[in-house]
Amino acid sequence: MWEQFRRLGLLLPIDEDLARQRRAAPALPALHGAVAGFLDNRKNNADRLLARIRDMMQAHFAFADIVWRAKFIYSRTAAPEILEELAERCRFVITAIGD
Amino acid sequence: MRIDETIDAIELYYAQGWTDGLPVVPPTRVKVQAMVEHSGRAASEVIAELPPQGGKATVERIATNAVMAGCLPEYMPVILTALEAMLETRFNLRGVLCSTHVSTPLLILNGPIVQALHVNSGHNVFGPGWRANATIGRAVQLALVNIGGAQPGVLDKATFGHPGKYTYCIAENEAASPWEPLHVERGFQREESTVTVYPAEAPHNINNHGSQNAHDLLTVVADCLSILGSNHMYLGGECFLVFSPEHAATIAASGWRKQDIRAFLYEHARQPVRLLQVGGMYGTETHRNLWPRWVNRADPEALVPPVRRAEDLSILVAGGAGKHSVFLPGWGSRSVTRKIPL
Repeated sequence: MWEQFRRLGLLLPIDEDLARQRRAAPALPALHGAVAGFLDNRKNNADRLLARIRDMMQAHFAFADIVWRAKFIYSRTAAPEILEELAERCRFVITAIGD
Repeated sequence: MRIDETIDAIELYYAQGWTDGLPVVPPTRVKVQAMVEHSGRAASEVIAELPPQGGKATVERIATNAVMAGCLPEYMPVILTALEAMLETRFNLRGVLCSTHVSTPLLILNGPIVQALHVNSGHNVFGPGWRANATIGRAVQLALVNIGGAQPGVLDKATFGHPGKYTYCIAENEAASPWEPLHVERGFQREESTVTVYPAEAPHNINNHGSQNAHDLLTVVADCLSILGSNHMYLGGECFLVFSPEHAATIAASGWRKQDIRAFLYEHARQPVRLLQVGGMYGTETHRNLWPRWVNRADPEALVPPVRRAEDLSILVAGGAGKHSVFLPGWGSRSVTRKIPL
C-alpha cells in the first residue's frame, strides 16, 4: 500500500494497522424489519434530533425493535457495555451531535 | 537523496494527507533513528494509544512525526512526555480533539531545559522565530493527527480552530518573574525540567498601559476573565493567565503574590446569573451543577466566578517588554504537569 515510501527509504507517520482497518462499513442491503439503535450523545437537542429521525424511519421501515441509549456526557466515549449491547442487538446505529 | 527527490518526497506526504498543510521534512530511516536514540527508549515502545481512533503511538512513529516537523533529536524527551501527559483523564484529550471548540493542546516548558533547547520565553513567545517552539509544538500536533486520527474536518470538527493547531509551545520567562515559576508551585524543584499541557484557546490580549498598581491592573484583567463567550463561566475547569514581565513587576511592586492575584480575580471576575442564562454554554451542562455550590441559582443577580476555586486560576510570566498580558481560556478540562526525564 505504501511501497513507494519504502522504496525511497522513508518511514510512515501513522499506525498502519489502524489505517488499513479504517474504512466505511459496507452499505446495508435493507432496513425493513431491522433492529435499529440510537445513541444520544447528551448534547443539547441531540435527543430531539434523533427522536425525529427515529420516528420518520420507523414509519418507513417498520423496525422489529428500537434500542435507545445515551452516553453519560458528550465529551467521553460511551460506556463499553452500551457499545457492546448496541453492537450485539442492532443492525445499525445512528448517533448525532446536537447544539 | 537529491533535491528533486526530496521535493517529490514532500509531495508524497502531501498526497497522503499526512501534513498540516505546510511542507514536511521527509523522514528517512537515518533521521528517525537519531530521534529514537535521543529518546532513550525503544523504538517499538508504545507511548500511548492516541485518541480519537486509538492509534498506537510508538516511539518510532512519534519520532517520524518529529522529523517531519523539523525537530532536533534532543527535543524527543519533551515530545514524548507531553503526549503521555495528555493521556491523563483530567486533560480529556479525546474531548479536546473532537470538539467544535477552538482549543488545542498548549505546551509550557519550565526548568533548565528551556535554556538547553533554546526555547523562547520572551518577545513573540506565542509567535514564530524559534526552532524549538515551532517544531516541538508541530511534532505533537502532527502525531495527534497522523497517529491518533484527529484529522481536521474529518474527526476534528472544530468550528474555527486556531493557529496553535500548527504549533503551540512556549516557555515560562522564569528570570523575569517576581514569583515562583509554574512548576515549582506544582511541587517540582526549580532545577527540574517539566512540560505542562493545557487545552488552550488562542491568546486573548489584555492591553493595559494605564494601571499603575495591582488593584487597577487586575480590575482590567478581571473583566477579560469573565467573558460570557468562554466555556469557563458555565463549565468551570481551569484557565491560565500569562503576565508580561512589566505587568508582573507592577503587581509585585504592590506587594501582591500569586495567591493575592487569585483571590482578587475570584472575587471580581464574575457575571450575574441573569446574563449567563442568556446564552453562552448555559444549558444542560450548567444544570449538572458545575457552578460552585454556594451560587444561588434562583437569584438572577447572584454572581458566578469563572472557576470553581481560586486555585483553578493558573499563573505564569512570559513574553517581552510591553504592557500586555494574555488570558488563555481553556476547553474546561485541566492541565497536567510532568517532569521531563533527561
